[in-house]
Amino acid sequence: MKKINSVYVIDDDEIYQFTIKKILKSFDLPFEIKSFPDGEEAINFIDDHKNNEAELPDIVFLDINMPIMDGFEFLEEFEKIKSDLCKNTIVHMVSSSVDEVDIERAKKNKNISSYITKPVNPKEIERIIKSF
Amino acid sequence: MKKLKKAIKKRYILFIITILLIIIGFLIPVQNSIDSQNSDTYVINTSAKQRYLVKSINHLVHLLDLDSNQSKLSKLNTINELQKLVNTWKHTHDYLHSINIDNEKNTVLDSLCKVTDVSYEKILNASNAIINNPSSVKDNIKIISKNEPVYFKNMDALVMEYEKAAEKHFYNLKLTIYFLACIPVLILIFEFVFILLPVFNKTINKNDELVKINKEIASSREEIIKRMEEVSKLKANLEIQQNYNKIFIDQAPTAIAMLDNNMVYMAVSQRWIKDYKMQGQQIIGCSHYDIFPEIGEDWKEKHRECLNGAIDRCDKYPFRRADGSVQWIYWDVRPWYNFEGQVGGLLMHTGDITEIVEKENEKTRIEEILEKTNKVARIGTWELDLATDRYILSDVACEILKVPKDFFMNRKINKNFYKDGYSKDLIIKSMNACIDYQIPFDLELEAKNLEGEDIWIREIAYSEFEAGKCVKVYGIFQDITSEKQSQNKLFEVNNELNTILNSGSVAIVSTDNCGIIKHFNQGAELLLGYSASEMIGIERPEIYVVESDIQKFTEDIARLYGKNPNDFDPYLELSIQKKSDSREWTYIRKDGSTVSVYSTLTAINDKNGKKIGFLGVAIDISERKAVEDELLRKNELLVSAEKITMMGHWQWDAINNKSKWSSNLYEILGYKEELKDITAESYIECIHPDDKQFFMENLQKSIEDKQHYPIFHRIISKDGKIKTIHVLGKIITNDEGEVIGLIGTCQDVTEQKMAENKFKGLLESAPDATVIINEHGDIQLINKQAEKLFGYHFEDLANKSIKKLIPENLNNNHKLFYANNFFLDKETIRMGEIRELTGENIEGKNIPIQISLSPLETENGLLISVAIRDITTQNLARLKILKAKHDLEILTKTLIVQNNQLADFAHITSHNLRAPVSNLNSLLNFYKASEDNEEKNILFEKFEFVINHLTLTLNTLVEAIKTKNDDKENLENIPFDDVLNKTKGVLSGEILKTQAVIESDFSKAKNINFKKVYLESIFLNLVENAIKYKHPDRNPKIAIKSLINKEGKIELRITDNGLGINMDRHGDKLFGLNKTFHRHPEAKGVGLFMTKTQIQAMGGTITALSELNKGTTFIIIF
Repeated sequence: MKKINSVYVIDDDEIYQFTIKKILKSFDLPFEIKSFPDGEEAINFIDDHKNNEAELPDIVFLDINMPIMDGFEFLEEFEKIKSDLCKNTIVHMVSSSVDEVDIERAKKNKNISSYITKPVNPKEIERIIKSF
Repeated sequence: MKKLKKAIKKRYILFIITILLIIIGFLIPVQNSIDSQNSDTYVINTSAKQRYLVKSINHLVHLLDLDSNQSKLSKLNTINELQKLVNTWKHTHDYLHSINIDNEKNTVLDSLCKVTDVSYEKILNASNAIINNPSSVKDNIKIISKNEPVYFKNMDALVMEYEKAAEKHFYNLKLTIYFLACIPVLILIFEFVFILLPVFNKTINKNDELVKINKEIASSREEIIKRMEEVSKLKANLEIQQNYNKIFIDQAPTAIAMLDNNMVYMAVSQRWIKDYKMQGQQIIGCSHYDIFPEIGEDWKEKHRECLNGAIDRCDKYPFRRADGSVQWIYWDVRPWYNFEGQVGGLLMHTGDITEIVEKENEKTRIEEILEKTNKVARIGTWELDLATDRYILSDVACEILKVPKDFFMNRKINKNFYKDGYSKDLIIKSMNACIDYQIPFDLELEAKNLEGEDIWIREIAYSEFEAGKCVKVYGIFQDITSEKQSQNKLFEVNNELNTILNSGSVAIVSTDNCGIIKHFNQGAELLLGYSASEMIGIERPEIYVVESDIQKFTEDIARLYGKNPNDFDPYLELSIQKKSDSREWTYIRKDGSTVSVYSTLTAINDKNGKKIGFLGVAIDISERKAVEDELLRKNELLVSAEKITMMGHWQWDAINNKSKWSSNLYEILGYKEELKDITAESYIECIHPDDKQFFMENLQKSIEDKQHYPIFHRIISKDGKIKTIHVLGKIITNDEGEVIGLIGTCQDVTEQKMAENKFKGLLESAPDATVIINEHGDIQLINKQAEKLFGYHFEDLANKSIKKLIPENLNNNHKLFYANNFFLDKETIRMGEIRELTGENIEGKNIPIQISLSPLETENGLLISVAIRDITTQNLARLKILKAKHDLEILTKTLIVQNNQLADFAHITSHNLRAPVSNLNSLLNFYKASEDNEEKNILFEKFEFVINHLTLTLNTLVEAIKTKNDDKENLENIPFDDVLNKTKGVLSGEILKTQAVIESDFSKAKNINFKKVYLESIFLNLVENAIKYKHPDRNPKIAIKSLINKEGKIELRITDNGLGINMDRHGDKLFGLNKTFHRHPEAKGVGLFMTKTQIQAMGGTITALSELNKGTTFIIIF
């Protein structure tokens, strides 16, 4: 397991943010958790810190349905700036959507490591963190 | 959920009320206690202040006493000050005393006050004395100084006592607080246990239910998707299957029909239509009994049985059609079953076997005739099976051979029946050729029957081969014995006659008993080219006779008289028999050529009857034979021609009333040719009684006019048949111009007449009006239906132009007129094509009609049959069908829209409920795992948040469902202005705050029929959004206008200059539930969702055009 410095939670659902943060904190690992209510804020932050390894995320838990910029739009933008980042990032899509279209679209996106359906299972998150 | 929310709400209210009561309950005693503490403090302070006042009084008194030199004014001031101090001290003392009296009722304090009152009174009196009399200071200073310590001591005790009282008050306060603290704790515990905890449990249970529902929704959705895919596949398969079924039924080579439970046609094959002559008829959707009104109750009963599961089969049955014709059919009627296994209707498989049955009947008839003919003509049939070498003989054949019916005959036995020699050799040779080379034969042979009688038979044979090998020979025997005998007799008579009549040119040769030519006449010389001198004296005439003829003659005579032809003298035999022999001979002329002669050999007897010689009389029959042949040929031709044309000819000698008929006329009239002495009456008696007068009148007129008028009349032939005869004739007159006879023909035109009658019958029985016109468009014939349709009688229309049946204003373009011109321009309208047109009846009323033209080849040239159908009812039915179709299309569209909305709603429901439910799940897991109350409280707050969110979502969805299910009744005619004004009123605060400008133009469409509450909601949502999402750099400007679009629908456009929406990114989810596009704290994504739902529920649409930072236009089409 490599050291994780930063984990981003990009989701407009504040309860989900609360629960995922709680789960992440329960592992008692020294990484920072940053949360963003939509894709645009997240992508702007990443773009602003493209050379700052400490600020850039190691793991992103990304929602699909969000205002302003949804998960897939975020991934499109992320793809554009990915090569400029000084760090590799693993993106996990987390959504309550069970729509086959969404799942298929997520599977086809090369930047997505896995598709997790809400409610998240703490053990699933632990597996992701531990397998980093 | 509403119940739960209500329960939580009730409990919260109770909980808050309880807390308020506790606070109030706290405040009152605590405030009292504080007031009490303040009072105690004040009393203690005041008590302490009394010491200070007494000290000050003592000080001022001593000051007055010590400084006697002070000025009067100064003294007065000191006294005044003393006065003030004394008054203050006195007042305070009274207060302390009264406090105790009023409140404390403390006996110790009361005692101390009383004790203090002694020193107080003394000091007070002394002080008042000094004030009243400053000079008495010396006296009173002592009193004061003396009582001051006592007072102080008492006051200290008093203060102490006050302090004790204060401490007691404080202690009481603490007790009160503790007591009051205990009560709310108990109340809170009680409420938590009995009020909040059940709510928590309910919430948790509800959450579990929601989780379960969520799972069920998810699984239901998967199931629905799966089912929908299956349904789509099934639908596609069904469509393919239906197409195949349609092709199968349509192109099936047999007549098949599919009917429903009400015997209404669902599908029929083309063969069905052809068999029952339904071309051009609309069958699908029609009742079987309407199509075949001739179907009787017996068949209907069978159909009902089949609808109950029975199967009805019939191999042959005459189906009597409504037009009187008989159609032989076979059928197989059985039920078909639907997917539920119930009878859905009937499958009918029929076949028109009329032709086969007619052929069978014809064959049977022919066979019967043949059988009769065979008997009459004595023709027997035989068949030789080569495998078994056995003959099978017909009854007649057995009769001819006079053998029993079970007589066994093989080839060997068969040979024995033929006369040895020529006949036997010929039959053996011919039979072999027939068997080996399949050469048929037709021979006249001499034979003997089983009883030994000589018979002549005509034998015809054909062989049948299989795989190159003959397996069967079959043929006929005809007993021609009598014919042969008759023929021979005839020849004899003829020869004799010729001998007498043509002796000059007749060759006569006579011989003596030894055969030496005695006489060779000139005719013989001319015939044979020999001279008499050459011939006379020669023994036997074989020199000019063909050997084979002699042989045959010998054999014939031997056979005739049952003699052995070998070593047989036929001449002697003829002499003995006193017979002559006449036959054709072939003579050989001197130059080697041959000539056919008919020779009669007669024995020359002396007067005693003794043979003395032989006379041969021969005549050259070459020419006659040629003429005969020619005559026979021509006669055969005439007979054939007459037979073919069913015609016979006749001659009538009017003078002698004698007639001659051709053989075919005999046949037509049913007379046997043996009838002799035929007269005009012979014919007249055959004429049908109803036609006799007419015939006689025509004959009389023909004779009078000396010109025969062709006539059709009926006869009743001798065999009882009624026939129609067409008589053509020619008057024969003598030189004086008198009629001496008639010749002519009679033609049996029964079939033509029947065909004509059949045509007329068909014409009349046709369900449609039919008009037959000639090449000039003149009406030749109409049927009853046409008379009924147009109101004319045939007499009114006969030879009139068909334009009479066409509205005048349409005359030049009318297709019926085209029918008139069909002869000129055959491309104008195709034959058989059905067109819808307008006709005009006798009253001038227009009738919608459908016509179909068919050519009619007649003797008089080409005619056109115009079938006309009144389609008034059909048109009405078609209009009804079109309306039904239109309604169905609308319903289908509505269903599609509702289906899509349902799918959208299912998607929304599954997605928007999953998120909060999943949150509840997560929180619940944390809650269960948590042992920290504070953390539990935080989690509980989150629960509340999620439940509120869930409640909002559910309420929104419930409202959306209600809206979707809302009917379009109770619509109101609402002025747009009214709704906008109300919206402005509701949003007046925001409008003022943002300085929004709202412009409107409802001049194009002022009002709308809509649900008022929806329209107000739509206006409120869209205008509020325009203000809420205003651009930060400018005041909101909203333009609202109504118009009528190209489709004639009312359109409403609401345009703002706000933030705008990135349509490329959010266009597809603009009206989605909980979809937000700006970081506005109040954005919840409900307004546009409900707006769209309300508009769609009323059958309208809403779309949006938007550009970031420029603004948005919502377009609503009502």
